[in-house]
Amino acid sequence: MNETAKKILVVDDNSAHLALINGILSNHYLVYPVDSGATALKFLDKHIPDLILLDVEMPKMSGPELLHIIKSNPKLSDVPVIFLTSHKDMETEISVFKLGASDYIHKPVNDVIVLARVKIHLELAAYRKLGISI
Amino acid sequence: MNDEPKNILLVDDNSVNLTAIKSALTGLYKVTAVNSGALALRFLEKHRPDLILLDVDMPEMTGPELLKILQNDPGLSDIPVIFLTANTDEESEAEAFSLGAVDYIRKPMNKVIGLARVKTHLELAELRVAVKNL
Repeated sequence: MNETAKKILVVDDNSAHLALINGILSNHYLVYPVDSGATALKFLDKHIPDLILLDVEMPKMSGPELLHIIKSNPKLSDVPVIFLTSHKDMETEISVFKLGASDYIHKPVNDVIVLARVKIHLELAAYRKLGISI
Repeated sequence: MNDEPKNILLVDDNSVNLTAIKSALTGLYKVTAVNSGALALRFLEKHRPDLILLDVDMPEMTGPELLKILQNDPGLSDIPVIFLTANTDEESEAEAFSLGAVDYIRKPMNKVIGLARVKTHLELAELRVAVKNL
């Protein structure tokens, strides 16, 4: 871990999932696990993470609801959001892309897949931030 | 983004999949579709596609075998390769990343998901080159 470690906000109401994902990512990134959309918004008031992993199904504020708030905020709209979902049907997978998420990861999560997808979207976001026109 | 359409090489021994995926991409990309690893290698002697969609399970030369040849060729090793597979288990998806594919698309390919992943990796590859040339 160094000072330039990327910051990842993980939002999931299930504490076992949260701990599992934290375990996978914490050797590589600064991980901020929170268990609700409300807590996530409080965190986002003061911090801009490099990427957000967001559970689809949460009580009170769902993942898609929180995504909508994030994408409507100009300060946060460029932050890549990857959905976490236990649904394996294609409809759910398609819907996350239509909502503006960068990708999705199935739960229970596989560490290779989590690390690969997170890396792809962190790298892409970092390059986009440089503002190079291609 | 420059206006020239990106070139995609599609490799799949199943002609139904080949046609379906080609038609999903046509109009957005210039697609060359071949039905074997041998034909893919012949194409790659003279052309350098921007991205390769590669079926995993093919007779004679499998997707992973072809990927290995590409990775050992300095002229081709940085072309992003996305695996196409009929397997829906997480192990196959994780294996795709472990073997060096940049991503994984399930067959039959859903257009929204397929196009999202193709777009991500074309942009990422182009930005990597742009950053290198700064």
